[in-house]
Amino acid sequence: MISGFGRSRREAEEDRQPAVPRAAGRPVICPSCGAPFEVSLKAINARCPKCTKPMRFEDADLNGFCTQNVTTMGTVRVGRKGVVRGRIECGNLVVTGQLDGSIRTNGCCVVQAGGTLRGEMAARSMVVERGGSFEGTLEIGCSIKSAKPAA
Amino acid sequence: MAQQQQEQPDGQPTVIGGNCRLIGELFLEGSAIVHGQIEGQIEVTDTLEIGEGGFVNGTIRAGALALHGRVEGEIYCTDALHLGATANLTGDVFAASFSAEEGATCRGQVVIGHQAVAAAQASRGQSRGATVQDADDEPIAGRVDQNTEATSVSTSPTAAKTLLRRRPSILSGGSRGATG
Repeated sequence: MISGFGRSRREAEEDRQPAVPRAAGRPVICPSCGAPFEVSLKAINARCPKCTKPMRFEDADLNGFCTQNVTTMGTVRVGRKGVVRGRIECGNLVVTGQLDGSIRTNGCCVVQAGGTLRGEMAARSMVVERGGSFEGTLEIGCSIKSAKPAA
Repeated sequence: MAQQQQEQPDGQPTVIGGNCRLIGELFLEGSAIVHGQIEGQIEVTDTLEIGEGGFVNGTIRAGALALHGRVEGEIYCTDALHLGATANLTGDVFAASFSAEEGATCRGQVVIGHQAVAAAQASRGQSRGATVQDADDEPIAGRVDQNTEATSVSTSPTAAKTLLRRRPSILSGGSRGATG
């Protein structure tokens, strides 16, 4: 069947609409109280509507040697040349370099090929691609809400 | 102790039904799907799938593992380990690659990568040998229930480094050279 032939432009555009409507904001789960809420995609910081804890949504790209704690609800990327040691609490984590420490991810953690992750890891979901490595204690899904927030 | 060996020349996986409960050691050539309960060891040369109702309490050795049920024990995978949204895993994991969907729960010591592959291969060699045991190795406490036959579950090292250290002695011949 040829799409759009013999039909109005509006009908054709309606057919192109995805079945699931696009999310208007970024879904967030408060790391302190576990309450789910939603913020704008452009939001830089916000407060949890339940516990009023402030949180930031900036993304962080870590390249080179870095020994500091990172706390954000955005995405943290450890680049191929990144050697990071510290405590990381973030929304999503992508590791292509080396990361040692205590990590708590409220979303997905991806260790890509060539990436190395060591330490204590707590995440909602996780992928270690072939060529990547992980060594340490892993908790998936069971204690994200109850874990103590990073200092 | 139940010991079973099956060959599936037509490529069909061996299915262990939901009303089946096995206690002991199970060796399978090819692939397998587990919907029942297994207490002890299970070793599958190819792909092992544990369904939502499946439960394994003991040691799993497989090429690849897709887990949708519950496992309490150790997992050695020379290939990929996938945890579905309904998976519940408690124990130590050695696998070449790893993925866990949102909704899965996992807790334990995990080693992913080439070290884990070497550990899994060494563990497989250990299980085939069945007599190689060092007095220095510490069995993982609480991993085997009292109801399970103690002779059916061999002791296993707690970390990949221990397995790698023992690798030359486990593998007969030691052609890859002794490390450490």
